[in-house]
Amino acid sequence: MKPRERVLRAIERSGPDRVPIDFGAMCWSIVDSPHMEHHPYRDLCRYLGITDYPEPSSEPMMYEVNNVDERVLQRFGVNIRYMYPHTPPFRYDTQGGAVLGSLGVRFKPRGYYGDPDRFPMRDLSTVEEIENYPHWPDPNAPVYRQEGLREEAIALREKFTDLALAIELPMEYSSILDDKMMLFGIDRVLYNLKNRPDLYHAWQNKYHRIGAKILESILSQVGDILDIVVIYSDFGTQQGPFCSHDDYVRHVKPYEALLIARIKRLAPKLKIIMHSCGSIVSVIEDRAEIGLDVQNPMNPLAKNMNAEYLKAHFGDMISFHGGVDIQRLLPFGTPKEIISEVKRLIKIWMPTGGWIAAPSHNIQPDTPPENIVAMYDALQEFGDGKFVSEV
Amino acid sequence: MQELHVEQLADFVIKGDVAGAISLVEKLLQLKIPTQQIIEKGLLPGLKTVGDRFECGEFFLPELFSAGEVATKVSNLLKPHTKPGEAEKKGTIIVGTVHGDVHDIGMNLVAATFQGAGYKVVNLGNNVSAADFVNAIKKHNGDLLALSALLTTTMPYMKTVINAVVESGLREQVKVIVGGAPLDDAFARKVGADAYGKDPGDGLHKVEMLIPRKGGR
Repeated sequence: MKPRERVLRAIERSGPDRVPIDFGAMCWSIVDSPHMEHHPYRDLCRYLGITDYPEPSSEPMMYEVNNVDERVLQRFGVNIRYMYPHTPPFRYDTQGGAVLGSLGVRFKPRGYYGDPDRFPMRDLSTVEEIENYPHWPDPNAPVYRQEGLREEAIALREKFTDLALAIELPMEYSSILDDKMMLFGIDRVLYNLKNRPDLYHAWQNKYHRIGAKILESILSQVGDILDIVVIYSDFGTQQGPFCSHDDYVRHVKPYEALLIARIKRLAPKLKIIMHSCGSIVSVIEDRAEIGLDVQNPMNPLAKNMNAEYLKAHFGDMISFHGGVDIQRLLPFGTPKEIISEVKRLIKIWMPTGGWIAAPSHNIQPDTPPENIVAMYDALQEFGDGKFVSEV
Repeated sequence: MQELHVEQLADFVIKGDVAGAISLVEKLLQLKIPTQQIIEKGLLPGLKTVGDRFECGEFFLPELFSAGEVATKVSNLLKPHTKPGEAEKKGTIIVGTVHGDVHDIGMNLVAATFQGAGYKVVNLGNNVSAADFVNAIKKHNGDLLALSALLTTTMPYMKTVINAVVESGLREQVKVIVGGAPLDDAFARKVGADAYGKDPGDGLHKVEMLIPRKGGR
């Protein structure tokens, strides 16, 4: 079975020949900030004997390496490759800040990640102020017309004929709460959701009006070439969802449904993976109902997000991506423990499918390279699940 | 009648009704109700209920943030009417997210909860060094240190902070509570903290056990 078919069969839960493999947390990979002393991506390359890797490139928000060397991906048997739409570049200033061009949020490097320097919409208190925010993206700007994107997708397809191909829709116009949190701060977003629904919905309506046009420019060009589209709706903490199920249904689900329906209309062939960290178990059924194909990232240490529970409760309605714990196991576990966990996960999901194997988020800077290698070697060695009947 | 009004404040905290809470507290202050009574019979029971409901899964972050907003606004309203030294008498808490970590939303919520409960809170913000924590304990005569971290990569720094407190000879004077998503009781014990706070309500409960009342009211 070709990797592309394997990935699609896993998503459709129709019996892949083995568990499909992805690197890092989908299009995001491994945290490697130039501002910190640990450089796990460089360590990994050197550990694999690759010394002439290109200088890692990342954006000053999450410092996720976005040009992982093809030799690393092949060594790990990764079945998916990603592409990205055109976005306005970050504008760097002299004080070490970087402004996200499409939203006007200024990031500064702090520790391993970049964080918003301040939240530019935090103190807006009227619908008019939200409407008139000066940094809303202009969907008619040349960059958003996505000229040449189709040619890029065709070239990628020709290069990776047998692999599954995905496009990540940038969160600044394809998410539900993520970019709003960058603009207001998460506490203000959730406070407004409860106490100022007029502001909350005014923002969502304007955002989705703009997003719809940009989405159309992207998907009309690549929807028939690629296999997967990645969107965002972060909604969980380690302990539970951001808000009650009632509030989710009233304030969040309608926008998730709108986004998914738009994608299905523009590109009916694409499978949709939604990123949503933490314990989001209370809304998985809702997401399956509105047409979501795959839930990422399956953080196993978040409440009720372990593989057995998810498979038992939702395994017949939706598929999952992620699942190999990055909070304890990968950074602090031994290779033996990692191999054992990988085998346990394969046993849960095979032979039906429903799982794309990957870490439960970005591989973190304190992860030893031998642990990363142990995970991918185990996935390749045991991924067909045959060891289960041999035991 | 007056006591009935004070207790109504708890309902406004639970509902996250800032305007209702402010209006009520302004009336209570006009009636010369002591600030300590407003805190202990209104604000604190409200925050405790919100914490309990959050813990049992009945309340979520919007309700916590709304209650935190009420607590902050009411505390600010009470400040000019509070006798000098009254909050310090209850206890001074130094809070901050440790070096290398900039996650401060949960920590700010915890600070608002402690402040709402009548403690003097010195919020050092995020990315705070061990030396700055030690200096703040000395400067403000801190009774309790509340440390926060959200990342596995930054939580070991809590041990560095506690070691610095020990080395400065202040450990006998100050209790230490730690909190943050990747932490648990075992980690708190391992780094030498006195307690682990799972969430703001649990944190407040632990703080009340750790800081003995200083003198009578």
